[in-house]
Amino acid sequence: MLMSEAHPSGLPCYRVLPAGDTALTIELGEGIDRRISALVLALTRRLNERLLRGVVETLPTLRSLTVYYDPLVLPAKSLLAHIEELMYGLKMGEQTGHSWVLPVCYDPSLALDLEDVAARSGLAPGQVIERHSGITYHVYMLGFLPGQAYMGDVPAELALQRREIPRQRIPPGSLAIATTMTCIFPLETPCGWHVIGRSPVALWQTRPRPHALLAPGDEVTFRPVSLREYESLLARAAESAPRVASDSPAGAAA
Amino acid sequence: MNAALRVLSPGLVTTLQDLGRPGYARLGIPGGGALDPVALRAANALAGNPQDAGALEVTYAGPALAIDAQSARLAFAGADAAIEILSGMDATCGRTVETMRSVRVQRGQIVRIGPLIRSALLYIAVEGGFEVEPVLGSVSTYLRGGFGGWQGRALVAGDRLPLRLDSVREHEEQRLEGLDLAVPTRLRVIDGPQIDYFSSEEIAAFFSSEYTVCAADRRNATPRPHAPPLQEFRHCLRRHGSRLDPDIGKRPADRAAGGPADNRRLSEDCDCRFSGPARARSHPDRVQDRLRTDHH
Repeated sequence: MLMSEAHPSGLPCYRVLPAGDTALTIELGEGIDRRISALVLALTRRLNERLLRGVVETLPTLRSLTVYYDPLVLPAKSLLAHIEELMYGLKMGEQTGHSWVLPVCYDPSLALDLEDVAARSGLAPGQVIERHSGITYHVYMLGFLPGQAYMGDVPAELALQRREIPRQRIPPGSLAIATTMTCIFPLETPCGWHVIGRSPVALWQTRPRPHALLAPGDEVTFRPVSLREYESLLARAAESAPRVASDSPAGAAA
Repeated sequence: MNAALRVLSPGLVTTLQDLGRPGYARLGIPGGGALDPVALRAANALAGNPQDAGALEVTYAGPALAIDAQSARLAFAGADAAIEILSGMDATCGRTVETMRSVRVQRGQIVRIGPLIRSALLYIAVEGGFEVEPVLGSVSTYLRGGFGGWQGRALVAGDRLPLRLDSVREHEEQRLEGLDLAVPTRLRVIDGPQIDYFSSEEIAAFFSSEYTVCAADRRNATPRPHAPPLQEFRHCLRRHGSRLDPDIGKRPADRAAGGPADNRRLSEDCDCRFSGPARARSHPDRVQDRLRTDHH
């Protein structure tokens, strides 16, 4: 571990932690906090701009940046030296994102846990929807499934621990909450979060270029839609070109 | 008819895998790829392919494959298994071949692979490779995402996997000697980023205990009614004294001796074939060094 105290010259406090033999995690604070996230994203941008040979991938998370690297091309020591340079003068707001409005259907037929969440939080289902869709969320990170964005911060009265018994599977597009985070799960998956709706939005694609709709640093608000509008949006999404395809548009050769 | 391997029975879970698609974690897309990349590379070396070519990854129980090509060269590496080459659909028994070697087969012959022994994984490489388009630079199957590999899924009976070559030259077959691909009974471990969450007693207990692999169908969100309390899982990683960065990548012996950091040593010495980091660099070139021509 490499500890660095906050420095009058503008070096933020951070720790470097090894994550296996080909990754380093640079931790910039404790807890889920938009200010820490802003520093993580600023560092990510600065490191990506250097286009270092031997950096395989940079992966911003809630409070840290993990850098995957090839130690045979870029020794850990050199990578650490770069990171220390980049840390000087690092500040929030260097990296800003897009603002999105995503349609979400909170209809009880799709919102498996809406009643339960309402009961647990002492609100009516309508109030849960109101609270959940009434604020702007910050995208902290992507992970777990393709295009899956971890968004915060869920209002305190809706912040629940995960379900005691996780579900074996939830349908793709499920909108769920747990603690202060909310996610749309882009694929069918086992899940311990509370499902309160579903979104028809396609969150990822592999063609024409690998892309996720949401990126860390983006802002998201949810627009409640009727079941009918949800279904028509879903049908429209299904009509468009397949989001997953091979690298060659010609498909498999004979 | 285009050259193909025709799947008569798929085995338990047989997927097409290569060395994976690193670089998309920021989109939530896993690197994936062969669970045992050394065995994959060995199979490719035996088949005369580039080491990162796609091959079939067989889990626990093997498939039966019919050869729909004039001739093909298959190579097997990983677990031991009973591999039979049958002359056709009507044959009940045939020639037995071992893993860690290549074999040339002809149109109409059937390759039947039984249960795997000593490891859960066996790789079947085909000379010239499979004619499958990569997704994000890789032909690895991502089962949950439903893409990559053969139609984004495990093989099923009736699949015809297209081959690049309709015939292969006759030459002496290859064998690999002295490369033990059995599951190591001792796994190497590197401190993780949350090592300081654990007390030295917990860490000591972790390193002085023996472990049994449990049955679990998935790793995410699976209820585990018989799971011991969390405390017992929390023995995760060993503390090597200081975790200052100069120690990253050193073998324990080097740390003790205060020797220079040398990441290559770790990789060459590493026998954690299931860990991501070892994927790209473990046993560099060794597989090639061990190839022997088979004079059978």
